[in-house]
Amino acid sequence: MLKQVAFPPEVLARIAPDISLQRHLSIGLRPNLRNFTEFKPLEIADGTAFKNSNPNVVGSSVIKSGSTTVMNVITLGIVDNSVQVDAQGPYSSVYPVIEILRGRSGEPTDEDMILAQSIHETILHSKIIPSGSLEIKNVGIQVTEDEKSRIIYPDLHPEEYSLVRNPSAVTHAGSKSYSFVLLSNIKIFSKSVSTSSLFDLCHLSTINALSSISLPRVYIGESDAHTASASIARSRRSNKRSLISTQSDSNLTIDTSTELQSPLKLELTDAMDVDSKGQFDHSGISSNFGLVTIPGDDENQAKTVLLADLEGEAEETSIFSRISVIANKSDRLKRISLINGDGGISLEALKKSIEIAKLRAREFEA
Amino acid sequence: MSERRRLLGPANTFIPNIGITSTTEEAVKTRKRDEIRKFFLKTGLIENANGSAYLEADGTIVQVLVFGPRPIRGSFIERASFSVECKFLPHIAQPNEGIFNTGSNNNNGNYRTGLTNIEQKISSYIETSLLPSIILEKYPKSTIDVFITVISSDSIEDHGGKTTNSGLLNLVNWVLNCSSVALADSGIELKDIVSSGVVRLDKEGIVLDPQETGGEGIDGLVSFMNLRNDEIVGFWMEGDEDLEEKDVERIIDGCNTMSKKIRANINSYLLEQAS
Repeated sequence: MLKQVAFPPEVLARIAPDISLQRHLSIGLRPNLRNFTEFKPLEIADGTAFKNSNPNVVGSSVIKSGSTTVMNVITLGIVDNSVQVDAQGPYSSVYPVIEILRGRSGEPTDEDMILAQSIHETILHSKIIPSGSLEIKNVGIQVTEDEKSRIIYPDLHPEEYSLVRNPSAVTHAGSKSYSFVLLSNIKIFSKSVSTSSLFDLCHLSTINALSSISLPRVYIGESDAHTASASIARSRRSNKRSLISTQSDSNLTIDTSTELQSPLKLELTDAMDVDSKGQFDHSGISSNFGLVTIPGDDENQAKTVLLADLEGEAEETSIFSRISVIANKSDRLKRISLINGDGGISLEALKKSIEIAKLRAREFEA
Repeated sequence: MSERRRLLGPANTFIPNIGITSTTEEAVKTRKRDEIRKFFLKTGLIENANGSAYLEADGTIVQVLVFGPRPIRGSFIERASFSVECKFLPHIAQPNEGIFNTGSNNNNGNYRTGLTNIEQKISSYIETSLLPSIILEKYPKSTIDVFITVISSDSIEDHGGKTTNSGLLNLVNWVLNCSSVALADSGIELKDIVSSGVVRLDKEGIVLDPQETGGEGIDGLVSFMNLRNDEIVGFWMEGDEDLEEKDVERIIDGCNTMSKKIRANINSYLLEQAS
């Protein structure tokens, strides 16, 4: 006969997270001590420090939820519209590279890749970045007079520009059409929440970073001025550039002066809602839920409960039915994702989670 | 071959150059020649690592994670293996990158494969300096891995391709001190907490914790185990002037003075945490 072994709660949580979760839920608690439909508090920090100290950063955001910190930095790439390989629709998206710091090096994990792909697609289908707003207009030309460099823009200095712009001085870059590409780099420190909650955090941080973007002006630098100048510029050049045959592309340079920057025109406000002003009004707020069944005993029947904002090992590993909803405050749903783990998702649970998601989106304004 | 694991934009995306900044330079805060800048230190912010430390010193922000001792797979080893990986956030300009990082990395501005030369150099310096302090024999069949993220760096001031050695050494100094504290936070058994100092030797003598970059002089970074008879565990010099034996002594002494001051701060922080 084997002796019965009793484990203290924290040991049980590690060796049998599903049982630990059941025990918690049966007394009306979650392992993280939140209520069933309570969300983890969030802090949105002033993430503009990155932007101010790095000329190549156009938007940034830092979000904290418990100890989990999401740092999102957006830098710019440029693409030549005339040789654009991918067909460009009326709306654009960000291109996120997500890394969850978990003490390993090498290639990204499945979780990193799935998160990045879903953020990219969600932003694209939320239709908040019109492709036109990323077009680079009025490309300037750098000219050197009396050993002093200045930049002439066609819209700001039309007369001088028409003088400078002779066919030999200006390569065909001036007449080509370019667009910015938003490259977002997301680092996640101290992951303690579930993948579904990480998606919510990444979505929030992307919207937050996007709404802080101001796009710089771009000019064609003088090629020899560049070889002699910034060491930063030299190393920022990508290898890929050698694949681009037109030499002029290599001289496209970002004007670092902040006065000439213009904010990225996002469709953040809801066209149907005249009162909408907040940065999340159109994009919506992402919320996630899990469905778990508490088995019945002699007195109680088995019932299924809805848990909001999944966190921790127990909830991550033993809740398979997930609902993710992006809703905005004018009651429009931007995305809904259902994963049927076990037992199915009832219409009632779906309705309830949409209700809570809408409520949360409205609450977020305050 | 195209990258399939990361979303890097349309196939022909390229990274524009960054123009020369038109904003006026910030006035350099002047400190006394033997004064060390203030720094902010906090341990244990990261929950999924065994130890962590966060350090801010002016514009330099460093986060260090320690994972270990973690079991390894495969054959038995008698002592733990130790590795250090230092990475900058991809948008940060790395000190001296014009010299060392010459287009060798696949860099699209948003990710890199592997470490850049500067990251390699820093990683290997931190690794060799910390290695003597760890009692590896206590952890057979394990690894101890240190992951350093440079979140912000103000070490390059001029964008004009001038060498800025003290910028690099200054950064390494803070990275090293932060890593030692993270190791201590992880509870891994140590012989001593490694700390370091950085000085510049110019015509007027030694400057502790030099701030202004460029200019003439020799920069030195020396790391110590101050409680173990000031044993030197790391030594890095940069500069193009001739160096005499007594100059080296002065640099080591200067670094030791600074190292002891930093160590005193670390000690009082750790004591406060423990109580």
